[in-house]
Amino acid sequence: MTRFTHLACLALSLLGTSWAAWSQGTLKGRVTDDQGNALPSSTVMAENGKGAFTDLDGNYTLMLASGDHDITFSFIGYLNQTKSVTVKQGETKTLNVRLREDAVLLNESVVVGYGVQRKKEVTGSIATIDSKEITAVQTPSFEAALQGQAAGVQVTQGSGMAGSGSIVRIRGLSSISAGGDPLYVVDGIPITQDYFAGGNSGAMNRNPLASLNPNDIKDIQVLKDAAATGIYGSRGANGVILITTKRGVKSGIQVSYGSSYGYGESTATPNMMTTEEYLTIRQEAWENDGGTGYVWLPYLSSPSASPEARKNAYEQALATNTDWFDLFTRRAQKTQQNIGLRSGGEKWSMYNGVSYDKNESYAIGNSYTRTSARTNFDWTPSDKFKVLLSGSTSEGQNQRVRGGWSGGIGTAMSTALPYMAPFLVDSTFDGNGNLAGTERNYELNRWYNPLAYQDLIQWRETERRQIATGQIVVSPHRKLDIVLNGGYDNSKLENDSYENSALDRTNGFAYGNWSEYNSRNYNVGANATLRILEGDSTNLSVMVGAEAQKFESDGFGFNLRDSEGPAYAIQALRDSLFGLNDSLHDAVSTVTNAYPIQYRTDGFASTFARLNYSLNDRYFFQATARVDGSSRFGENNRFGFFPSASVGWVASDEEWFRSETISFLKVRTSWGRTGNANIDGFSRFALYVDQSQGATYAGDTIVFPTQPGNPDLRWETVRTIDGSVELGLWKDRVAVELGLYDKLASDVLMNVELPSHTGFNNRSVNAGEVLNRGVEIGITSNNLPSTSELQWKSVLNYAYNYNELVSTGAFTEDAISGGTNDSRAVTGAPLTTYFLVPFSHVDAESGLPVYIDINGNETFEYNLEDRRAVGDGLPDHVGGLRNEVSYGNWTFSSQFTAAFGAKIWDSSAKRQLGVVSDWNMRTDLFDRWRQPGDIASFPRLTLDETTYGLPAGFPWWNTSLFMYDASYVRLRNASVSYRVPMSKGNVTLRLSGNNLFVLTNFIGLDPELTRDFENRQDRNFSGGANYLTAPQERSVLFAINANF
Amino acid sequence: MKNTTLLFTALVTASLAFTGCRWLEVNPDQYILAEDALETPEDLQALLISCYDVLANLYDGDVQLLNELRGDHTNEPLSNNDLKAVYNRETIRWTSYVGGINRDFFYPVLRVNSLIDSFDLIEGLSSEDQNRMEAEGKFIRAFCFWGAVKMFAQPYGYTADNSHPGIPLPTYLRDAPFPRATVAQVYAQIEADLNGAIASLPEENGIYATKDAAKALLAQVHFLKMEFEQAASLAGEVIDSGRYSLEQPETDSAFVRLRLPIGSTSSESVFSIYSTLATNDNRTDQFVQWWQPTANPEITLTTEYWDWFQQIATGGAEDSRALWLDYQPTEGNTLLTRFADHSFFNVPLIHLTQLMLLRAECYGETGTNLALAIADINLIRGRAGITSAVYLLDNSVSTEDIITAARNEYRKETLGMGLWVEQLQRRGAMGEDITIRNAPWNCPGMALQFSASEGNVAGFEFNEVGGCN
Repeated sequence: MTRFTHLACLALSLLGTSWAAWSQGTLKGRVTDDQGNALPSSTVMAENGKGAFTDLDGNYTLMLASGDHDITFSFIGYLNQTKSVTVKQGETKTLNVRLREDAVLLNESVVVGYGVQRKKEVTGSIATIDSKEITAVQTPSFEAALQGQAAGVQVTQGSGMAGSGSIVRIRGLSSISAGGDPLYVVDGIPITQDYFAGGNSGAMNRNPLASLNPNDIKDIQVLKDAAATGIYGSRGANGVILITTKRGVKSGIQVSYGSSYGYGESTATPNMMTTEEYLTIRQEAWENDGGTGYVWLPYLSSPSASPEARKNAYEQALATNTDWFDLFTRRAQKTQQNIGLRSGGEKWSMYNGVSYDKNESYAIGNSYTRTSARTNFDWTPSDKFKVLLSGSTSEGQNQRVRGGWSGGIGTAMSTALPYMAPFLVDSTFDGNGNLAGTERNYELNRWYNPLAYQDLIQWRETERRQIATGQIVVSPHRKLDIVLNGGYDNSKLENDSYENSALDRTNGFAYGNWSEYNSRNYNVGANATLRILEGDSTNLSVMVGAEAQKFESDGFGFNLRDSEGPAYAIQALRDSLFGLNDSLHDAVSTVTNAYPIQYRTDGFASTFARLNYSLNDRYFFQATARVDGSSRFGENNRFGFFPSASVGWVASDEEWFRSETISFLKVRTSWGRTGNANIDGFSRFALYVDQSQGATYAGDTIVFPTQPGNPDLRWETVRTIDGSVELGLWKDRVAVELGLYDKLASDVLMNVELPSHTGFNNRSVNAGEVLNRGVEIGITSNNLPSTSELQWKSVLNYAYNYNELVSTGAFTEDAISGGTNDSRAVTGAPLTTYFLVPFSHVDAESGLPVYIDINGNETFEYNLEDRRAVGDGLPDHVGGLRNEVSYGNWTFSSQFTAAFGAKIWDSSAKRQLGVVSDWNMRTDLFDRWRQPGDIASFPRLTLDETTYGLPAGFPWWNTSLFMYDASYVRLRNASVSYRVPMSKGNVTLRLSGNNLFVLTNFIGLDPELTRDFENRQDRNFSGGANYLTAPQERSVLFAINANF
Repeated sequence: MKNTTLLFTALVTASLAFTGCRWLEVNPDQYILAEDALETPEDLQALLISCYDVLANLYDGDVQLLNELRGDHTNEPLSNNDLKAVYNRETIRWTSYVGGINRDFFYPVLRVNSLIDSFDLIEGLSSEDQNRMEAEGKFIRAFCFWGAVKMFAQPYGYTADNSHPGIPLPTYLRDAPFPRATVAQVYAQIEADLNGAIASLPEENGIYATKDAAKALLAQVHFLKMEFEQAASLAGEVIDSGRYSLEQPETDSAFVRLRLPIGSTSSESVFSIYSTLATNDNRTDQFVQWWQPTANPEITLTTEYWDWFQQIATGGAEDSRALWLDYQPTEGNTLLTRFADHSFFNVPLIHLTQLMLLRAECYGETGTNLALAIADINLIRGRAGITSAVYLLDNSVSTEDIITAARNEYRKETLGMGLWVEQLQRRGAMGEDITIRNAPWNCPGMALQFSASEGNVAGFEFNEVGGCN
């Protein structure tokens, strides 16, 4: 029964029953969800048509004639519940009801591209994630909270560094050089998502999603198949994530307040060696190599030093034992405050939200602070005209530290040897490692001191972002809606760093760098929906539209010398730098160089259409078509056509369908083509470096070609076939969705490295094919009867994906350089395949590594020509399991996530567990061969790479010895919450823990990792590679949420 | 409903018209589109100069060092893995330093081909300028082909008909890659380019390529082809032009910087690359970086070289070229000091001393003009401060003595410039029993491996790896 029908019945009942008032009793109570949250505007209806709505706090009052009644409680998205009650004359009876979510949600509205549909009539594959699932987990950025929430949506969390981003893959990975991330659309507008605006400085990429406030999000729809994404045409191939923000209420005021406080720490501590352990290992390697006396030590002695000098160095080293990782880490604090105000009147509604979120990471000095505000305003002067305005502004302030290969924690796991002291030896320290009474007295002469480079560098990245969208909806006729929309996404990324003069040992200069990167994204569009046929049995509607998008980015920067500090700390300097351009930089004495950041721009122009037809409310058909033009593609292929078609059949609505078990059955299938255009905007051009850039030789200007053009450059196209079954079981207590898909990407965009003799380095081409094929299962189950006081809901999702690089076209696999981590393209194998010399075992007699040659034979010879595909970084199986158990005012929940079948290539283990060098090593190496007969994991120790068969001067030991199973099961989140009993509003207290434990066979820090990437292709290929990557964060939070 | 339909249709039409097709037209402002890049004679000249720019990057010590490492003058590099691989004659496709040099040799080739391809499109280009630019382009292309084929292929004479693989030979613009041509084909192309250059290059061309430079380069090509008569003849034309004279340093410090002036051109220079101090444009980085005599120098000369320097007849204390060397008996090595703390110098790639010694050896080989050969050798020895008659050649010496003396002087004068290993390979091809650090002159690893990128299109023939140690 629709809400309109309810209203009609309610009105009739109010008119018709006044005469019987004298014999009435009163029924009152509260309608809530499983967890006790009020359900305002729920319908409470007696069997005779008498009814009432609940108020904002879920309370209702219903006058009933004395006698027995069947009262039905209903709310959209929840299963109806009918209770029998007897009311006596003059009696006031209380009946509180908890409604349980409908697992099938037939009538729920689902946001689709450029519109809304009932879930029942949706013919595409769409997963919906509610706001409470997003905010339940403490994450550095909202997209991380999608992990484990929907089948086929694989989320790999970023590292534990503040503000780090996750990698989201929907139904596998189809792209090689073009971005493999889904398209993010906020309130109908595709937003800017440039992960490489800041390069990978400090071994971390920018996360363009970090500035979005999760508390503003109402829900998220993940569009997965072509039927769902087809309307986004050229940008739908990797899936689309539609983010809808909260809006106002129809009347009254609702206030929500949330506050949390917690702490975080590293999920793992690297098992780096102590000085004594490292020296023991090194000494053994030295002696294995034939050395006598004490081994030479980096920074303290040399191979040619005299035995006495080596002995002295050894003894000197023993006097120091620095735990570098400990010096860089801490227990981090986290705090968050947010207020939301939802209000509305007869013709307007408004949502206002402000939030402050300070999220320290366990890395000392590292934090991400987001301050944001949002206003969404709707004005509906008539039922024919509506205006929807949304605006948000945010500032994300990332206090950066170096990591990975760049320093900090990364150095603590590599070149910071335990016998290196961070401070001068004649200093005295308090218990915290601080020099008593004075500044820290850093050791800066004898070795690279990573602690000094952390403490004496101040570095802040600040992103200020404004996203504004507007919609005008005009309905000149009851069958026609016209929507005009526009959007503007503006981002300013300010990078500000300062190095203390103590770090410049030569000249004593203090160096600074200040730059700003600006991006602007404009969208305008219009669409119209015409409902040609509207009836009980046949419905036909057509939506057509057009839109255009323009993106621009630019910026500039300054190198500074001898400023007194970073610009963010010195207002006068900051004021002088803002608004400065190249020609004016001389005005600031500390500016030594001004440089522009490349101007980039691109544009899209599109038209699209969607046709929906339904028959008898059980046969559904949809067709979409989109024509996209993009400036990114060559003049010969500027426009692309992307069609899709899909059908759905609700079999359970057939008259012949009879089943006690199956309450809902829907079958749907779709076919479509979508595209990927996520490449650099200038890839198609044949370019010369201009004289204006000032390049000269011997004072004469020069001009030269730098990029070959490709006028044929075109879209990467993905053909998707999808088939799904949706089941509702036992009166929709259990919902099951099973999906199968087959995605074949062709004309895959590849930035191929050209042969040297062409005179060019790279060229963008369309070549190759990538296949993704998989199965998805989602189950939502209310495990106990709705009448039970104890409620238990489980949500399980699982996905299997098969990925294969089918072809690289006319180029060899070598042309695709792959990632920076020994992953590369191998036809017949998944993308992200590791290409390594297979390691067999350690020879028990000699202690030498035994490899497998290309013919499958064991060999002591390490030959790069024996490399082959030995594993890949894409998991075959991913899943999540969420359980919620409610009893009374208490709710317990847990969320497990899991991934199986991927491999980790631990690139840094090459040095941590390989040839003994100037890196500290891990204690795993204790399991090494020492004497004939030993069965060991690692070969005999050596300082000489040729011992392991490596070429002289080539210590990069690319062998599968360092490839590990990345399978894991993680307790992503567990929480207990208590709803404080209140007559009005609600207050919930919650204690939650994130990343509490992980089950894995990986011997490194964390099997789930996201390192820094050089570019889009690297991000596609190196997802499973580790290089001194900081581990995940474990956190515990206490939160209070109040709604009034 | 009719009105509604009309409105609907109008809206759709307006929307389509509204769609911002103009946003599809973008321009990469920081670059210039290829179609707009070459429109005037000045643009072509700038493109041509960019080829010299790449040459200056290649020969700022990089090419010279790699060729020294292939020879028998140096110890194993201290720490750089790629340099070690070159020294050990075990370069592989992923030896990135070598791959970079491989790539650098072909940037100018593309640019020269683009230059020649553009002549018809340029308005206002005089035939004189076109001929000169084409000639300069061909000189540069030949220089690059020759530089590459010497490093990435076995030398001329490795096979009787030189049918062994050389390098790709892109002589015109095309999308498809080129296969490796034979060494015979490469040398033929080089000769064709240089003959074309000689025909049209001017005798004076500022700091850029001249007719003499092309002749001198062709002389060297003939020399490696063991065509001594042609080599001597061409070298002689340059030597006798009167445009070049031997430097005569008057002080030891001046001798240390022989032919390496800052801000001027050596009187011996036939063709040089230039640094420009005023614009902070330094093209000597790699000389300074690798040879710098620090406490732990990356590159050092062998004791064997020092011993050879000391023992040969013209060695000894009175040879000023000893000023370039710093023998360190305790460390067991010798430092080459002439690049120490000396930046922004100009590097002569072809010079008078080199041509005189080349010609002298050619005369020795042909048994002609022996007196002239002896005189040239004595001039160079005399310039090095060798005054004792004992160490100067008299007219009674044999042709073998002349050849040996010319080679010894050549080895000394070009130390650090990477020009010795090709002479060893030539002599090996001539039938001498030449070993280079205990390996035959023609062992596989002497040919550096091509960049892995060459294999990005199927069918490329890579060199055999290693096989020398």
